[in-house]
Amino acid sequence: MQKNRLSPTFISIILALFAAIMSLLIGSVPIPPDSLLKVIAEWLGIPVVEPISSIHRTILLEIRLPRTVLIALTGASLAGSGAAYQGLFRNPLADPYLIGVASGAGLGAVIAMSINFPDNLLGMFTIPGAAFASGLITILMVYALARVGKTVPTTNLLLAGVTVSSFATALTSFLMIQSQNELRRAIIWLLGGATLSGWKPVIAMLPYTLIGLVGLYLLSYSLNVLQFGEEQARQMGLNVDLVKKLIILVSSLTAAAAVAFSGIIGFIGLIVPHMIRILWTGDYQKLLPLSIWMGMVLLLVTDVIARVAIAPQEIPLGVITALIGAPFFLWILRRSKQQEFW
Amino acid sequence: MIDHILNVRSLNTGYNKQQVLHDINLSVQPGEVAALFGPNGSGKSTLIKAISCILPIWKGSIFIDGYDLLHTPSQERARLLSVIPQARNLPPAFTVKEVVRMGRTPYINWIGKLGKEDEYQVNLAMDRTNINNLADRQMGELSGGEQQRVLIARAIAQQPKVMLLDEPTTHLDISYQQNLMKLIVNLAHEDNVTVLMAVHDLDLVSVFADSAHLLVNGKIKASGIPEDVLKNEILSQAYNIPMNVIKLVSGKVHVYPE
Amino acid sequence: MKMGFPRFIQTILNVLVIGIITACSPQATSLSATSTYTDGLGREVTIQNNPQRIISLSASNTEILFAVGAGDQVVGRDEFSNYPVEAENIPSVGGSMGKYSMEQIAALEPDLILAAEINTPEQVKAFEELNLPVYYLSNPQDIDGLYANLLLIGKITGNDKEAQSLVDSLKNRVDKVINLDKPAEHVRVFYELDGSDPSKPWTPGKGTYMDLLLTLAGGENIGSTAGEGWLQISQEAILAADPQVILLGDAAYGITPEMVAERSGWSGISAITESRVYPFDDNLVSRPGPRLVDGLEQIAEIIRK
Repeated sequence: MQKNRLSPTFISIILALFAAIMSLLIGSVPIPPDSLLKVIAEWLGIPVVEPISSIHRTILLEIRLPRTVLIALTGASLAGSGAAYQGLFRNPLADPYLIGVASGAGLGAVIAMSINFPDNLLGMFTIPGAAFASGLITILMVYALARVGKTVPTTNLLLAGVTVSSFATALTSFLMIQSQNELRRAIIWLLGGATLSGWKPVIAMLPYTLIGLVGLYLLSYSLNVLQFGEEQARQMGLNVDLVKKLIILVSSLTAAAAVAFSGIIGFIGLIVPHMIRILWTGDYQKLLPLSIWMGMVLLLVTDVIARVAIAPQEIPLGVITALIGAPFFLWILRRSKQQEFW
Repeated sequence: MIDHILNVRSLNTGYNKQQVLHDINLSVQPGEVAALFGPNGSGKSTLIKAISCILPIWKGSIFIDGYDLLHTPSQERARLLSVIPQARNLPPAFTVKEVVRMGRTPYINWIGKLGKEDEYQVNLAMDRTNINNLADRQMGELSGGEQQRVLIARAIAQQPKVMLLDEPTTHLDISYQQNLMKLIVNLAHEDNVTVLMAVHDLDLVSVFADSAHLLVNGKIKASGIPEDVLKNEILSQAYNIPMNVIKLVSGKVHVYPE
Repeated sequence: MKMGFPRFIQTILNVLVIGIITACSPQATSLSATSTYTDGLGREVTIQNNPQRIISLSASNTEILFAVGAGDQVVGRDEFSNYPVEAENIPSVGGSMGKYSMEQIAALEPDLILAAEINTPEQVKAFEELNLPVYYLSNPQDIDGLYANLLLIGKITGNDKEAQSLVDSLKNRVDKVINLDKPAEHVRVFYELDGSDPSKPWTPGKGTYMDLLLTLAGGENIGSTAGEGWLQISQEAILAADPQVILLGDAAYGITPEMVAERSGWSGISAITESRVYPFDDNLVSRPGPRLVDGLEQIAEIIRK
């Protein structure tokens, strides 16, 4: 299967670093490439001949760097979560939003906008906080609705999730039409992209994302076993009910945090795992970490394009991910020589 | 009744309030190949599912080597009992070696790292089933018979005391069938793994089984050595058509409808 | 084993960088005289007196800034600021689809960012995070509110005198319109914001500027019977109200009086039989700036034709 000498992990990490550096160096304001080196030198305490201008430093450290980290974390969360759901539901069409975390989060954000939560409740985190909480509550609801005794049958989960999701989306649209003042604000939020800037959103998001990604990695072996179906998995000794609960919990945490801070960005969670499957492997122990790295890469690249394609205009990420991602994925699909990779 | 390794007592269960199995009592001795057979719809698969604890039991108990299966956590249970399913709808992308290694799930932690002992058991299982030459092939590339052998290897790697098989020879052609059954008999007699297999081909019962259990409409109608169970009165009544049993030179019997 | 490690390292490095950067960010110090105002979001904003590097985030704010004489103090504007013509020479900082280029805004080193109600609180907070002074100017509710905004911007930008004389001249013009001989009966007017679906066109209802100005000019906005804000009104309701004048706010998008006359079912409307369908520059009634008075004058003139 692997004919290259270089391991896929190595390639992905290099690509991620490359994408991050690109994200730092490219933007609507041109910054000389050595600025990055100068900033690092400053940080290390090495004296620099021509120090970087304070504008460039602000742009690099206060605007681009936190945004790069935020986007990287978001891309990682979405791709990891997508891979996990594809494994859980054994369905190639699954994505992180399948059972309602995004529509729930969107509804929470729009409700918070329409009822004009006092902005000093959580300061800048009012809307993301509402979105995050609402996303998680939606998942809990879906889980409770799908549960039969101690188990939660996968079909029930799917049906309940899709239904609750549609309901939440419809309710969101309704609220948006009713509350015209907030319509524009809601649309901007829903279209995706980093609406908040600076380091605070990154720090707020970090714990959930870390727990999520680490948790998903720990569950990756179980996902492999689950591919044989729940019956066989149980017969092989897997505590299927516990594993399902954990996958849903961990995926939801990380996806809810991503949506809360970056809005609803589609396509990444669905396609990146398939990319990895075609290029490398379907073994979840490798698929998960590789999806996480490549999710970072894809979203970082998309974000750079979003920022510079029609500068100073910025295209919302939710609009552009599929525009860029789809042709790229189709190219990979056509070039693949394998018969089956699912 | 003493030193039976698998003991099923008064098992009652079904699906959605529809009872399928009624008061099943079944025991298997260590190292024995026990065949469970009967007309279609009699509940063979249900019984296999019930014993492997993926179908909730309404009443009754299942003991393996003294352990109460219904009150044993799933990981430990998988060390006592493994199941060889039919080779259908298997994920195509895993390699043979990866699949067999998953048989060690009851012995390893969440991360899925295999230790020396685990690797040893995996290699043993692959030797036993003669699939070393297939180690790096993807499951999707293999034939039905090869896939079935991989599933057996996986079940062996689980190091169980008892193995359950649900119609293992369906969709396989004659030579594969024979090889498979011989492998299973060897496992039982040489490695002391106890086997309970649900089959519908009566010749298999006759040739390969050490004990036979006839299941009709969810009830055990007869249990014993194959010659005692494969009798035309018993079978004719069970299958609702007149059956003929002839004795072969080897001592085994052959059954055919009249 | 190998896979997880580099990722952990990267994450730890990120956390370290965050920690160090946060500890080392410089505090802003102001040296020249400043004043403090409370903005439309209730925030206390401290602005340098006589700001020379203003960025306007809305077309209405740009118009206001130029009108009070602060045009040469503006160094950045939003994408849609197209009036006055001079505004187009100022670099754009984004704004379509609600997103601005934070980098360009920061690079311009503004001493004041003027936001409007089309900007979200999230946007304002994003500027706060970068320690950029931003003032959120709420929309006026009526003409007096407009005057107050103009005077305020005049004060903030150090153009008090000009702002005052602007307000005085606007007041004069408004008074003239109010004291015009009113038509014998209130002229019924239908203002079309968007006629892409002629069976349910969008129109301004109660509480919108259009509604306000129309009433001031002596007309009757049939949209106000349908509700508040911008809404869709059904074709039947329009026919029932039988407007005498139709103003096409969507003329900029290609809707012409001829097209309206051809709409099925509309031919019986008084405005059409009397050929009183006119294109109208929607910017005059949607941007909360001094050109609202221009809009008022135009409406008053049209309905008296």
